[in-house]
Amino acid sequence: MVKTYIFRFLIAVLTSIFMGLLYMGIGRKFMARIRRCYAGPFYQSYIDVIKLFSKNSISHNWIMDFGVMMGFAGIIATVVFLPIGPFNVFPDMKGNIIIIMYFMTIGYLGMAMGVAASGNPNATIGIARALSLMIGYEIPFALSVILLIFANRSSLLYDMVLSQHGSFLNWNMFRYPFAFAGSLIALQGMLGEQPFDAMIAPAEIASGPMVELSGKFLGFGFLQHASQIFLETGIIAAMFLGGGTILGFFTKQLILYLITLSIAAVFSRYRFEDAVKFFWIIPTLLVLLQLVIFLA
Amino acid sequence: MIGKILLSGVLISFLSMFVRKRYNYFRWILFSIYLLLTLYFLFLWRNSFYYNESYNFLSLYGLNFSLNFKITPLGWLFSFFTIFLTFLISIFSIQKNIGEDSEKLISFFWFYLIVSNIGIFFADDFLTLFIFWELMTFSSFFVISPGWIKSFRAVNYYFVLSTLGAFFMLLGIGFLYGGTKSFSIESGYTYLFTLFSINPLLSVFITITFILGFFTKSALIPFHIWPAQAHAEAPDDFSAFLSGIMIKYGLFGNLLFLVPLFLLIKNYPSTQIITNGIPLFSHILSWVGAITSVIATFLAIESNDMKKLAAWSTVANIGYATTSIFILSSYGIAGGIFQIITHAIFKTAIFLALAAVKYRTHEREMHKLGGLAYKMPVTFLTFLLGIIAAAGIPPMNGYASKWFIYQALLSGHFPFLTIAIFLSSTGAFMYLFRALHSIFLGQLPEKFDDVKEVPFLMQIPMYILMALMLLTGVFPGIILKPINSVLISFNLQPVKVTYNTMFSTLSSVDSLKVFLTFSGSFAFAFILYLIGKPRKHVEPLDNYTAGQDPKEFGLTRELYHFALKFYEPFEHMFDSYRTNTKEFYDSFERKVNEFGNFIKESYSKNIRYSSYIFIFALVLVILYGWLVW
Amino acid sequence: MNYNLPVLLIAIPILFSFLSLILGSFNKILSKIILISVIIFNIISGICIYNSVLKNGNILTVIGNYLPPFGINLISTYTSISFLILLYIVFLVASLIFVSKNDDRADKISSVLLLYLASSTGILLTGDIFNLFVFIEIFSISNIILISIKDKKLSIKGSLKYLIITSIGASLYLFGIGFLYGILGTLNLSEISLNFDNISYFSKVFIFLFFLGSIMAELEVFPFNFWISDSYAGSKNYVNILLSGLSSIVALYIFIRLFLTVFGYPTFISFSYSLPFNVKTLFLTIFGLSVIVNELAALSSKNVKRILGFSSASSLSLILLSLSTGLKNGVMAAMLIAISVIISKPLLFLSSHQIMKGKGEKNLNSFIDGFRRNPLFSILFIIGVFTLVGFPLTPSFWGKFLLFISATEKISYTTLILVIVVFSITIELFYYFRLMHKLFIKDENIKVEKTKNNFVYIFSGILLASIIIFFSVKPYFTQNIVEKTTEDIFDKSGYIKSCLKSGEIDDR
Repeated sequence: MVKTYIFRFLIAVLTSIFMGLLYMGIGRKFMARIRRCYAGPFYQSYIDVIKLFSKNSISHNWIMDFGVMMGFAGIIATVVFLPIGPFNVFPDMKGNIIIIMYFMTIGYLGMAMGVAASGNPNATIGIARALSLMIGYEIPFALSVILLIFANRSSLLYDMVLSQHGSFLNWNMFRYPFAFAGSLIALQGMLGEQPFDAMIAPAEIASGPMVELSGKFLGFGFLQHASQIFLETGIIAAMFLGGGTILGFFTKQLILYLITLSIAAVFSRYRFEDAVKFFWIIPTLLVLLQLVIFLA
Repeated sequence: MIGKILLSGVLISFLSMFVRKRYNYFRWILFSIYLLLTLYFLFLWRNSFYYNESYNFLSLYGLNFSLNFKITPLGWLFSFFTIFLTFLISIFSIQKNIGEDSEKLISFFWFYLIVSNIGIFFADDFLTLFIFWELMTFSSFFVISPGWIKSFRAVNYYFVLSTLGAFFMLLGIGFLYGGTKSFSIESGYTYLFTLFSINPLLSVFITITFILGFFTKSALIPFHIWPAQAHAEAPDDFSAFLSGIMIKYGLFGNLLFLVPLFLLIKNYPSTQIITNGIPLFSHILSWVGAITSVIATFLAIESNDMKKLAAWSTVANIGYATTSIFILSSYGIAGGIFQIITHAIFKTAIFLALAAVKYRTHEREMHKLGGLAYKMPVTFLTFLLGIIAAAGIPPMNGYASKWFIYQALLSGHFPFLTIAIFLSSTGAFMYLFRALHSIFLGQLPEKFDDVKEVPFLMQIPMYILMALMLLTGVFPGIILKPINSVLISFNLQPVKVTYNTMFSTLSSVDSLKVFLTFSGSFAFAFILYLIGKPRKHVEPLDNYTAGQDPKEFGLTRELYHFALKFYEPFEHMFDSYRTNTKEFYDSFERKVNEFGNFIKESYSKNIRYSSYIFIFALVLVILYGWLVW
Repeated sequence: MNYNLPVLLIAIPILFSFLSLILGSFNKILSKIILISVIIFNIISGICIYNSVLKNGNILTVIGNYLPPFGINLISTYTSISFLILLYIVFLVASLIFVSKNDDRADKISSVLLLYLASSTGILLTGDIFNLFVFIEIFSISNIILISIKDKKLSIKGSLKYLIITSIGASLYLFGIGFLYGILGTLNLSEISLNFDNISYFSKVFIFLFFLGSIMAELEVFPFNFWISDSYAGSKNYVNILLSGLSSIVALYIFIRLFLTVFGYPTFISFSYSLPFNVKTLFLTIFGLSVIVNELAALSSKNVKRILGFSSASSLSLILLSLSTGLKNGVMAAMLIAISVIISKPLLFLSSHQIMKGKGEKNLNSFIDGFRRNPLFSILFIIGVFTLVGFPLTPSFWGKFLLFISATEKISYTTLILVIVVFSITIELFYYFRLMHKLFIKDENIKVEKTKNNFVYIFSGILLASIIIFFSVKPYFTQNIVEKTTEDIFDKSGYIKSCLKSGEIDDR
């Protein structure tokens, strides 16, 4: 019993890391193609992670170590609750969306704590921006979650996936197009891609949260980002694109990620308070419209 | 027995006045012993519900005045956890008052607060409730402000609002007495329910008087101003009591009177407007709670004073609980009560951590602090677990109660209330992280290099609170099972829980599995950490100046602590709103003052003026007689 | 039964007020002794009368064997005699304080004080409307003199204001008497109340309003009370006690007699008026407004005496408000609040005076650190405040409670007034707690010297406080008194019967 759980747990975690890094590699290539320049091979991300973990690193105090580990642990613990296609770790909690939304925050908190403990003001400014942005994109996202919970009378992601079986026209993407559009914009913010990347802003605050991370700490950041891509695209894929088989699920995730990247490639950066305003107006109104249509 | 406990509290309080000033802490030891004894008796009564006790000492003016106590499941639950938490705070206070020239009055009046605490929670009729309510208001006045000018300004709002609320409540009680000729709470709401179809205007008025009484105490909009001031200026250990326990009396009142009333209306909808399956009145009240939580959240994001921040956070949490309670479903009420209890636990932890910080540093402004986690690890961990709970992150207890609230809101189809709660909950993460960073992380100022961890006696309550937060988060059934007996006393379906699993119509959660998942993930991360090349310890300032002496560059650690105006650009988004509200409150205050001054001035004008007024008024009176005729 | 002791209650003070002038010219001590012995005599004989009233019911004292409705007569009812004893106690406190001070004009002032005593006794006992006028005039004049004792601009201003306003009132009163006498041909209160219904509507309104207007200034009701601000702030301590404690009793009694016994018709539980307009609404409006305005004025004042003055005006209005609900519970509430106001207000004036002793400015800040300076009187002050604001178990708590209950029996205009009352109670609580809080503020820079308290102050403070505590811890005793008083107020026919033996009772 316990062994099966540990086994499933490891499968989910390793898949998320493996696939997330793969998406990152493909994404790099994709961006390079859009910008008409060269990029490393698609397996470059794996090499990067191994390299980072074998390099020298510095730390200022125990909280920094603890925080970075907690950040990574928070994200992979959330992945455990995500239904990866038909695969679920816990048979009684097949993707409880409220747990997923709140569990994600522990990852953010850990990362924020780790980099804040590094004592660099640039890192803290980045965190402050990231948290402000969070209050922006969580609203349209939460609204679409509420919409789907009302529609399915269940807060399990897997139930939502089951309700979209059959033809692709059953996908919530087509049933609730406005909500999908709003969530897609929210996904852009969640992944911190342009135009919502004020928290990283390499030229302005020296990569923000990552400024003080080196060696394996940066490696943890890398892994966390990879799992995060897997998790967030996975949530949207399960909510709106109907989940599907494992391979189908991965493809949907990749497509979502590439859409995000292509949007990022053409837009320039928002000031983050403007970004928050934008999130509260355009995507929120879109989802609200859908919600009103649904309730009416 | 309840009466004896109350009486012994009064006696011990007088006894404690004789303690010499040098042994001030001995008063607090007496206080802790009293609390411990009370706790013991409360524990004995855990199964003797509906045990009555009545002291029939007065029969005046055709009315029967008696103190009636009854142990209800609701009252027992509230009194047990409040006394327990106060006991923890009192242990903290013993150490705080060693060697310090502390105020005699604080512990003296705190006894009365505990007495009124028990009295309020076990009150069986309105008169008992009101008498202890007044005792609580009066004695808290002197604890919040034991002879400090600054804290008096803060207590202004609090005192005026509470007494206003209390007297409105008395007015309502008078109305109910007029109708029923008894002070019984149960016959009160039944009468009010029947009155709703006979005389809607009067019944709405009576309900509003009670709402005023309870909402002023629990600081809901538009009475949300006082906690930020009173909690911030009160003695540090008392802030924990104020925020963790005292603010809950209003919610207890709601549960005692308004919720049964609305449940009656909900079950027998005759003339009342029902929206979304609940009476319009309670729908409005849950919106009041939601709006309070949103506004308090934004105000918390702005505040730089750590105690004010925690106070605003309290207001926001009370908002959630109110919203949830007035949904009137089993899940709503269970979630509301659960939220009240978990909030009491984690907010006590947070305030005690802040008190510990202030005990060592004597600073309240967050930007003057920083990096204290490296010096005070236990305090830091308490605060960290506290904010994880407050932000509703699993596996701490705040998560479990929030989950219940969401289940209630979602299964009752309240999308906009849900989104309001969600907004303020995300905002909670913002301001809590700000506090964590500004106080405990970042750069440690040079002046705090010698700061040590607080003494062991202060650490004891923190350890217990940490364990409690984790325990009630992983095994929410510990609290939810007693809540179920409360639900049964409301004639509601109990919620389905085991010790570690919570079920709802939408989904179920196994908190133990959630906790174990997180532990496993952390273990996984830790293994990765061990696999990686060992890290090197470097002082923070060393790598900013490429190995040169930072002092040559004029760099100090304070300069590198980013804490003041943390969310400034975000705050700018609300500039216009803020000035408007401030202007509104200022102009209101100005108008009242102007009116008072105008009256006073007209009194001290010369004789001619006053005789003119006299004659004018006389003519008015006479004219009234003639015109009406 | 003819019982002549009540006459002495009035005659002896008047006699000795003139004697004290003569004897005082030899030695000032003599006049002080006279003052104290007269008040002690009055207290003792008051208690004797109280006992016989308890035994025999209302006592009619006929002067000169002219049976009523002719001639002068005194009626001692339960209400008047119990009010009288309360009044004497407050007066004893005030005169003790006066005696303890050295004043060059002791003989003259004690003479005025005795006149004050005689006139207030007369107001409470008389059964004749013109006699009432005479006593009110004497009462006002002695008040004016007492206010102006302190040789300050403020006290002169205050007493002048009082003079002008009360004399306008007095002339109105005289008009009213003229009308009444012209129509009914009698001056006897019982006879008037028996036949008042037979007057035409027009004259009824006229007379009613004349009497109302004349009494308003004495009742400290806004907007007829512009004298109180300067009079309280500008007068001596014992005059404050008299003004706040004693004048309220007197004004209250006049109100009860005129507007409840004479003009009103008591039924089993409530009073009604056979007037063409709604008297209750008028009363409630005026008194409700007065409560809130006076509280606001007190809130914005800085001078402690002014605060207490405005506060006593507002408590008087509150009493009147609950009287004018006209219900039995309301009248009981009024009596209860009256008891606590009459005793606690002098206590507040007394103890605040002692707390602020030695401070130049008598404003809020002179209360700072009061507890360390003068712990005894700080505690007495706190007792006074708790009594006044209605801390549970004090008479005023029961009073406010009964007021709420009586006014909420059915929704009406009264209910709306009550909302104002709730606000005003909150304001009252706030400014009293502000004062109390100042007592505990510690000013570490200044070394505190303990104030030396005069024995008389300690005695009178403790006397007043113990009376309050007695009333609070013996609620049945209080209830007994209050219920009897209320019954007596409602017993209009009993009042008439005791005066006019042959008169026919109009049982409506």
